[in-house]
Amino acid sequence: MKRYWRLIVIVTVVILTIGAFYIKSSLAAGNYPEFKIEKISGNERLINSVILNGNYTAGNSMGESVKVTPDGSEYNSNQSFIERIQGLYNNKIYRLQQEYRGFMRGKTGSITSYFEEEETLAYAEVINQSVRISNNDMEFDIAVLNKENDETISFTVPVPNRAMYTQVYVEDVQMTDDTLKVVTRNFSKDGGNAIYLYSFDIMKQEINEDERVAITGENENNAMNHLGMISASDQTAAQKYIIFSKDSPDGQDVQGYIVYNLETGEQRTLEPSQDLSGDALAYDNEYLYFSTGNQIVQYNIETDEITAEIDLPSQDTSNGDMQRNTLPMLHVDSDKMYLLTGNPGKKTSQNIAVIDTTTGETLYNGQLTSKKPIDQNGALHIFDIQIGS
Amino acid sequence: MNRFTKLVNFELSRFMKIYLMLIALTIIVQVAGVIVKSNEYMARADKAISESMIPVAQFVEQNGAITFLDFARSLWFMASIGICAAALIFYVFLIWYRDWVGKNTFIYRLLMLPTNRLNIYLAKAISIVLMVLGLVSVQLIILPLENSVFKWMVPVDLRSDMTVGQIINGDYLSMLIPRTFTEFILHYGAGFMAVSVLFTAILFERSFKWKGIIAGVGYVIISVIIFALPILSTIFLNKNYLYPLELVGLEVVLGVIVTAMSIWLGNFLLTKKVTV
Amino acid sequence: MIEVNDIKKKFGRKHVLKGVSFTAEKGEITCIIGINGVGKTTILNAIMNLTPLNRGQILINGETIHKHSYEKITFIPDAIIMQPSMTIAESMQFMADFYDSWNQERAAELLDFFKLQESEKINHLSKGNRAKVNLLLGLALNVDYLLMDEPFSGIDIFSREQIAEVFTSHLVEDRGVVITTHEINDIEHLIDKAVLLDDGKVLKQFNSEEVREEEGKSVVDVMREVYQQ
Repeated sequence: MKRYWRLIVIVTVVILTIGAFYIKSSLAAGNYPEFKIEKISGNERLINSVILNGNYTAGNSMGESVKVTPDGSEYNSNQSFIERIQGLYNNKIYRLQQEYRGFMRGKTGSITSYFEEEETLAYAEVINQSVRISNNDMEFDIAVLNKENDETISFTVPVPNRAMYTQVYVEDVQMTDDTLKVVTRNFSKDGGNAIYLYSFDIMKQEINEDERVAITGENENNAMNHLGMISASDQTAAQKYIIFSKDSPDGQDVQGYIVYNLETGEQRTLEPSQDLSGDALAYDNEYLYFSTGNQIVQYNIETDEITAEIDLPSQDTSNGDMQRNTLPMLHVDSDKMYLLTGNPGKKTSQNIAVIDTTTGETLYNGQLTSKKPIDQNGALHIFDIQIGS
Repeated sequence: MNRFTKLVNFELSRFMKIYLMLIALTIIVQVAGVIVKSNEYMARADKAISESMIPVAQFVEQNGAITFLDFARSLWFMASIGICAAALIFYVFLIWYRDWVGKNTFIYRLLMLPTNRLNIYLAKAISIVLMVLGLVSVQLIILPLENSVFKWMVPVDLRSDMTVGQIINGDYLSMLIPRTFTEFILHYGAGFMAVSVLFTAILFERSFKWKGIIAGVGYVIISVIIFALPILSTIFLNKNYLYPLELVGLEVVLGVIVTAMSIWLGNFLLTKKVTV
Repeated sequence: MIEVNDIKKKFGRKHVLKGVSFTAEKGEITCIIGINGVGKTTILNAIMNLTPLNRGQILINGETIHKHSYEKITFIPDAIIMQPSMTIAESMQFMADFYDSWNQERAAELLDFFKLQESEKINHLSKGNRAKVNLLLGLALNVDYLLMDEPFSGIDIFSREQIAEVFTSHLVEDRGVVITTHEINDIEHLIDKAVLLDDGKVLKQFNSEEVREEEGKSVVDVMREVYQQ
């Protein structure tokens, strides 16, 4: 046996070390701070189904993705490999993949490429536009699933005037009856970009209308101004409008909002006024939400009125560090608004509130807390509020 | 002890001197790296704090607290890992060619052992895998020690502590030590496949000399194409038909096919075609 | 019996063996004679399955070679086939580890006979001593057949004498020996059977004793006849 010491030593060291490492890491849930949502006031049940998707970074590491719920947090590193690779997608896309496995197969595109209603799941993406393929091959890849009879209509259509564009991104998909409307941002070869609306006749499998909704223009400083798409609170839901902002060339100031009515095809501009100062966070049907810093303003774009001004829930300012340099995060779900405020950094805590959008009443107010104090260089960045699984 | 185990032990002992030197080099370079990097940072902090009269907290805010990753991302650390990796990749070739080259043609002895020649192939492959895993283990053992050295070198208000798990998951080290055991098996399974493909390519060369080089290179290309087929098809069709779990499953199947094909071919060449 | 049946081998376009057949019996010393480059070593390599053949078949006791054959037949090439960094003792241990047919007493006897030091490293040995170690490692196996490639080439006269002595000792008797040489003088008196090889073919194979008794010719005489035609 003595002559085999090399083999015995190597095998023993390898098994003990690597075995110990994986046994330990499967037990070591305590490596990262345990977060949860703690109630300050209100009805706790309202946030039962809330999941905050975020990333915890310690020092200058790449960080760990984490889901925070009222009950606690689950770190990516504590998931099994199989759980993790299945969770590569946006939560909603993952749910769609689970429910409509056949339909979703081979579908790329981000969440903006999908439209979901009770009976319909629609998808539009512009394919063949990787660098390798000449841009003249750009096509719309359209698929519509009738959930009731499980029938799928799918077809591809060349992008009109595709020779002009370098890249075309799908910004939103909407569908009414047999008409699919796809909002895209087309980057032209001359450097500008424009918002287009393409209407597809699903039955005839063709484009029956395309329209340029807005284009970046040169202003007096000879600089391109930006077109910023305001995202709907629920990006797959049916919306009557699409809204985008005209920004100054540096992207700092909003020069106005363009509201486009998908039903009538009319568009109008909302001039920025005192009422519309601040940053547009999201919209949900006719309501556009702004953050002014201390308030969330709900603005009805049909009546041009401020319908609610909701004071942001007071935060713990006792430590004197009351910055609001990050925008609040907003998620509107029917008549409830979920609002996440505060800095991911170490000193200010992050608050989550549930607010009735019709009355402006704060139904729930809570705080993200960690069991043990988080490391001075650790930070929890939440990037998504998810309601339900 | 059966002959296979004896062969593995024998193959390990043939590389042991260089292997132990690699381990020593890794430890020395990495510990030296921790000390040098920590000192650099401390010198900067001292200068700022004593000369420019900046408070410690402000210095940390401006420069960031030093973490173990500052060192793990430095050349000290990466070079030591790189040297070990290069040495072992080089040894994948040397483990065969050393038996042919020179006056002492040990390949005669190996081929005349009263055992299946496949055992020679597998013993060499397992030796490589064990040596790789041995180095990974050494890295796992010295990481906490280096972390302690680091904590001992830098005062607490200038550093940000990380656990070994965070250090590994936080950066490229997670390639060597993936976070779950499943991935560990997948990574090193793929490594074993790569070794088997290279071994078979080497045996092509040993069997057919100049024509064998072409056959060997061709074999490597075919293996890569088979293994990368799902990914290549995604690139060429510009469409991703498989869900992630299906893709992993398919890759496992293809990996097993490529490995089995390599071992089978390697055995065939070693018993029927190889020449001393 | 080792049967070599019509074996052919080419390296690139060069035909080295163009259909070679001969047999070697247990208890006999068979000598393959031919000038250098005639394919003598290739024949021995082929018998041990160390090089593939283009055609033909080799049978050892009626079977093609397999892993257990290496306990019954061994090959002593002209260069030592051990790790040069090993000591003689380690080399012997290696053989004992892998071969059931290793005979430790015989190895000790040979060590004594060749006056070799167990603790010496192979790469520190003289050429003659290296050849002796090589011989030792092969002879100490309880095999039926021994193949030796040019055991006398390039070594000093005293080593040659010592090695030649082995052939007449109990260490070899009863075994079948196949030996190659391009220089017959040292071993002419030892061989039972000669296979004369040229241009990839067997020109003549004969029993040296028969030739001596019946025709009154030595092996060298026959060689002269055959090669000078």
